[in-house]
Amino acid sequence: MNRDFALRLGRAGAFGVVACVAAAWVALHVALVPYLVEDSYIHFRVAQNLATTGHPYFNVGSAVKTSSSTPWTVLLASLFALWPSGVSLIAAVSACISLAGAAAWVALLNIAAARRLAPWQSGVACVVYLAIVEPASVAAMETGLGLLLASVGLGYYTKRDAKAFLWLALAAMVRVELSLLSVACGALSFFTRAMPWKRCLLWAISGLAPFCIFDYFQYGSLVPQAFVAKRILHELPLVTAFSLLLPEAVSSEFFFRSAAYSAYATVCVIVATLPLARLAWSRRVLEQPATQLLLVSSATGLGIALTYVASHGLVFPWYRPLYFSLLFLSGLVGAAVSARPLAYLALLTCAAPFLYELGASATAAVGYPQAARHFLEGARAKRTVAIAADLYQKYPRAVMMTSEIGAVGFGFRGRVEDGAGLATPRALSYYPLEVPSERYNAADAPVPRRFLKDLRPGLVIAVDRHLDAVLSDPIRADYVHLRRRLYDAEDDARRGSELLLWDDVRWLDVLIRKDLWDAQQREEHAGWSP
Amino acid sequence: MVAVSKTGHRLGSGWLIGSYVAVFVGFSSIVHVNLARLSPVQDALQVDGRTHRLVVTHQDTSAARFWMEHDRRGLHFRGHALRGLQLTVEAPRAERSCELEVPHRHSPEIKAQRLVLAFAAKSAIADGRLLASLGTQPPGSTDGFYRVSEVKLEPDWREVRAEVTLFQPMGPVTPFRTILFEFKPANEIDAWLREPRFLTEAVEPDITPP
Repeated sequence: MNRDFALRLGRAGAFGVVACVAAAWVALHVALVPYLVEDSYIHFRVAQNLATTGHPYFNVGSAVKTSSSTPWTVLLASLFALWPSGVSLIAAVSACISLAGAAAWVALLNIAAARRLAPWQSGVACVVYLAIVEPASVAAMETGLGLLLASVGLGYYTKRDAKAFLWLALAAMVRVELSLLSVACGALSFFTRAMPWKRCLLWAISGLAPFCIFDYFQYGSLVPQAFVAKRILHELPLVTAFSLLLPEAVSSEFFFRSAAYSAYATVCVIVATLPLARLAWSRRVLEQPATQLLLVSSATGLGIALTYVASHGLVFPWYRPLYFSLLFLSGLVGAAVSARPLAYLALLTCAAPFLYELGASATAAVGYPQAARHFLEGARAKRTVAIAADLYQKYPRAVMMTSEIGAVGFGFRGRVEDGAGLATPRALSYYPLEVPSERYNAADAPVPRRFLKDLRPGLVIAVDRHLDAVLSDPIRADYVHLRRRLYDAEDDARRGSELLLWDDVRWLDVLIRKDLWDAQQREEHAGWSP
Repeated sequence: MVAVSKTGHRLGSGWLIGSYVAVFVGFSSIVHVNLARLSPVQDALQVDGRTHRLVVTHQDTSAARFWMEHDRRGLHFRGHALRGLQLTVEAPRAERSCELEVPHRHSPEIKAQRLVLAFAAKSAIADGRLLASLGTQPPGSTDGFYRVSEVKLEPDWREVRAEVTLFQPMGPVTPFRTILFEFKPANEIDAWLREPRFLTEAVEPDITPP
């Protein structure tokens, strides 16, 4: 009886701890809603348009696939339909999705280890997962959902259930990089003859088909515009593409950073491959769930990272969980199978950059937003939303042009022409822009001067460096030029000694075409005597 | 090469370690790790025969896009996307010196309380400009910068002497603690600086009436 009571008490305690952690995780997401990043708002605007017009377009009437994830757009649109101004609800849902992803990870590890993990082992796995996925989860990006679906798919896969390919296909629809996981699972399944390939294919098609059909009828294409645009916009050197792969906590402003980069990248390769390398290989071993998990997660994680580097891709923080989670999953499977505390300790050490960043976000959530890694970007986006909303009130029928469409598009509900081509494909015909006369460097995507001259939009808004070429052009004479502070007063004070040394990056430049400006002035001063 | 156990084949430890070393070397070649960059003297400069250590306390990007090296031509700045660079002189270090190939001498003797920064600069890329400012606040501060010079960089060495009139002539001169260099336009940078003179100690001005 006493033993039963102790058992129940233990379970209740564990449940209480899990509930507290989950509540804190959701609270962290909601607290950081004011500092969402630029790209979060792109999804929001497309989803709001889907909820209100039935079409997932950034600009109503323009069938461009600006959002790269149809399932995520549909989910967000459902949430907006429930609560039209519910960005906090989206943040909470994003938090719940990443919590579910952590639970799915633990379930996978239980399958791999063929036993129930000790609570502390499950705890380590959850902490590592949440730390890795946090940048995407807090930014309310689709990565967390993709990883959750992938984990469920892997769970089915280890049970040799062909339904795995339904979930893996859905994961690939959420983030196309995860299609590599489907390929890896398919190849392994074909090689080991674990499942009938026809059933696997059928399930995969049933996962892909609804969204492919939806995309085709909505956009006439399955390819996200971001894929087309990024290849044209950014010309990154290999060293930059490689360094962008790693968590920002690894980068340093001091001299040994290049050695730190290569050391940490090597550590990640070791985490992903050491459990595989230490296996005693035989046909029987290959059929074990743990080995299969190790193979597909390691191959996919490394494959995604290599693809980014090989394509000289611009990797955003919310892309990183796609490969780091799989690389660390491999390490955790190894640790779960070996059950050595030292292995878990080593993994926690390897995950230190992610834990550091998680700590920074937690600090930000309890009243010190300046501690957040992307505080400046978030503060800038917040301010941009406010300025764009103000402009929309004054000039609701004007066409806006900008180089960063997310925050501007969320505040300005009218038509937004995108100088970077994500929402306006014809802008890409003005690229590549010359360095330095038209942009600061080959990774920069400002408002193309010639595009602005051809279109002559009523409004233009961009950070100063994205308008340098325009401001030095005679067309500037057609516009009234206003400068707005890049941060609101509160964030400016918080920024404190944040290292921004140059006055000319503290401003948002707003151009208002003179005829619009004059009409607005007349309206504001109607009835005044001269 | 491959150890054979009772249950299967396992990769030998030597091969495993060798593979990981090869991976590290491969990554290092991508991010240009080399011994010169790991040397502590790379960020040093010579002033009056002493070696000072310069530390980059801020640049506009945390990504690995910028390098500063001390070679026999001077301090070599190379990279891209740089809008500014803040350097701080740390205490002199007793490390091996790296003498300049062509010792540079500023022509006239400087008056310490007026001439606060002197350097020579050149750039492999045409049309670049270098703006130099001195900071009175600790590294990282955005205040207290005095713009002291703006020069057009050319392929040949160009000597720059910057004189500033300090704002508090009756009191002790505030020691400058940081140098801010801004390269404009911010794109590819390939420039050298040599022999920057930098006042790290307060100088009492001459307030004797004429």
